[in-house]
Amino acid sequence: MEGGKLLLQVDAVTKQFGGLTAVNDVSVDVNQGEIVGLIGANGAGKTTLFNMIAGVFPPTEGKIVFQDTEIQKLPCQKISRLGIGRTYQIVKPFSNLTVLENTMVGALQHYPKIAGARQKALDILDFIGLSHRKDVVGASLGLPELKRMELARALATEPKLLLLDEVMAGLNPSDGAKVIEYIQKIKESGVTIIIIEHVMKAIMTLSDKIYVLNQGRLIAQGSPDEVSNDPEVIKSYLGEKRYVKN
Amino acid sequence: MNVKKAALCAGIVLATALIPLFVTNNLAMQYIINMLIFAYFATAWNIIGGYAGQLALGNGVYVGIGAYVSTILFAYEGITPWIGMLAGGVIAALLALIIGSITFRLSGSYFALATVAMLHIIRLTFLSNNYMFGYHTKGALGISLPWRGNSIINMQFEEKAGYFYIILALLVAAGAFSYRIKTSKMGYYLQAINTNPEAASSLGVNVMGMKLKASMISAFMTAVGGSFYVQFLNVLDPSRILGYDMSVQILLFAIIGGKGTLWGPIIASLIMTPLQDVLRGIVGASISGLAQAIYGLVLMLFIYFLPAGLWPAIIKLYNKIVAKIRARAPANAGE
Repeated sequence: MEGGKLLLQVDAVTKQFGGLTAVNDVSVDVNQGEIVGLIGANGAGKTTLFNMIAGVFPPTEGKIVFQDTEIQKLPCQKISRLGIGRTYQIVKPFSNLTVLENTMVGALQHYPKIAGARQKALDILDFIGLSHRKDVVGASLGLPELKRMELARALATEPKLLLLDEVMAGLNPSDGAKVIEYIQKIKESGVTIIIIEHVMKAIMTLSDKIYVLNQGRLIAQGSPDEVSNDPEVIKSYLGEKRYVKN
Repeated sequence: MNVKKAALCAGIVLATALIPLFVTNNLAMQYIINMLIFAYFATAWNIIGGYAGQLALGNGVYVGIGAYVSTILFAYEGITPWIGMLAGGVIAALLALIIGSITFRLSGSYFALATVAMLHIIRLTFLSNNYMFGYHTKGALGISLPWRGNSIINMQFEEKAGYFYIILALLVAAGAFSYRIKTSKMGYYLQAINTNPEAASSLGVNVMGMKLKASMISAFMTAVGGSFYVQFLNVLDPSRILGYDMSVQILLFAIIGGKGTLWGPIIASLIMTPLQDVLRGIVGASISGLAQAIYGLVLMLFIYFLPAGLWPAIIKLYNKIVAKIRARAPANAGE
C-alpha cells in the first residue's frame, strides 16, 4: 500500500488433494510492512494456502518466493528460520509445558541460551498481556488464551512475516478489540502480517489489502473498500453471512 | 541448578558411595549393583522415550551391541573393556542413526512396533550365527569372559565393590548429562516434539534431527551400560541381554517412575529391581510363578494409582506439605 518492497510472492499456486483442488491458481503479493487480509467461506482454501506458505506441504504447482528465495519445497523448520511465523486455526499447544516454556521454544531459535530465551519470552508475554499466566501449563488454558499463546510463541521467533489464522475466534468483542490493538502494535514493530479472519470488522479495520477466496479460486483483491463493494464478493461471501454486520 | 539442590545431590552420591563399607554380603551387593544398572538404563531410555516421547520398545538392542563389542574386543583381541565400552557406544549410536532414519518416519504405534521388530531381527541374528564379523560369538551359547585378573584396566574385580563404584560413577554421569539435556535448548525442543511435532517444526525445530540426536545419545549411553553389565555378569547370554524382557524392563522403570522426569527412572529402578530380585530369591524358590505374579500385581498398582509416575506424585506430595507449612507460618514465607 505504502509502496513497500515485495516480501512474499505467491505465484499461481495450485494444491490438489487427490481429486480435490483445494487451492486453484492463486497469486498473492505481500509487501513489506503491510497487513494483508485473506477472507472467504469455510473450505475456500485459506488455511491450505497458509500451510503451503509455512511449508507443511508443497504446492502441486506454482512458486512461493520469500525475500528472493523460492520456498515452496522447503520444510517447516527452514521456513521458520527464514522468518515466517504462524499460528494455527486449530490450536497446537505444547500442553505439558507452561505458557512461558511454550514461548521459550519459539525464542530459542534466536536465543540458544536458556536465560536469553526466557527473557525474550517474558518480554513477548508482557507485550501480548499474558505474563500473569506464564506459569500455567498449556493443558489448562482456555481457547482465547491458547490463541494468544500461539501468537506469543510465533512472535518469539522474531518473524518478518506472520501468518495469523483466526486469532480472534472465540473472543468476545472487548477481547477482540484488544487483539486488534496488539496486531496493530505488531505491525508497527515492523512485522508484515497475513491474517485469516471471519470477524469482518477486524479485517476491514486492519488490512491494507484484502484477497477473497472462493472454492479455491481468487475472486477479488484490493483495498477493504473495493472488496466490500465488489458484487462478486457480496454474492459469494459477504451477502450471505449474517455476522458481516459485526 | 541452585546450590541447595546441588549440595543435596552431592550428599546423596557421597552417602551412596559409603555403602560398600557397610554392606559386606555378596548377594546384597549384587542386588544393589543391579539396582544401579537398571537405574542407569532407564535414565538412558528416558532421553528418547521420556523427553522426546518416542515409545522405543527395543532399547535392549543397544545393551546387546555394547555387550558384544566390548566382549569380542576383550576376549579375542585383549583390548580393555574401557575402550570396548566407547567403541560399543559409538557403534550403537551409528546403529541408532540408521534405525532411526527408517523408523522415525513412522509415528505412534507403528514406530513402537518397528523398534520391536528391530530387536527381534538383531537377537535372532546373534542367536543363529556362530560367527559374527569373523569372531566366534557362539550363537545361543553366548560368550564367557576370560578371567584376566583383578584390575581396573580389565574391569574385573574379586570384590563386588569395584563394580559398584564403576556403575555408581556411570549413573551419576548419566544423571548429570540427562539434567543438562533437560535444562538446555535440546530439552525444550524434545519436550515440544513430544507433545506437538508439527507446531515444533513451525517454530524452527528440526524434528527429525532432534529425534535422531536423542536416539543416538540414548543408544550410546545404553551400550556403555551394556558393556559394563556383561563385565559384571562375566558371561554374555544373548537370550537374556537381547531378550524382550530386558527392553521392557528398561522402559517400564522409566514409565512407572515418571517419564520425562530426571529422578523418576532412577527411583523406580531402585524400588522395582530389588523387589524383583528378592521375590525371585525368596518366593520363587517355593512356589513357581508366584514371584512373577506378585511383581505383576505391584506394577499394576503403580500404573493404576500413579498413572503419571512415581516421581511426579512425590513432588506433588512435597509441594502440598510445603504449602501447608507455609500457610501455618506466613511470616517466614520465602523462596
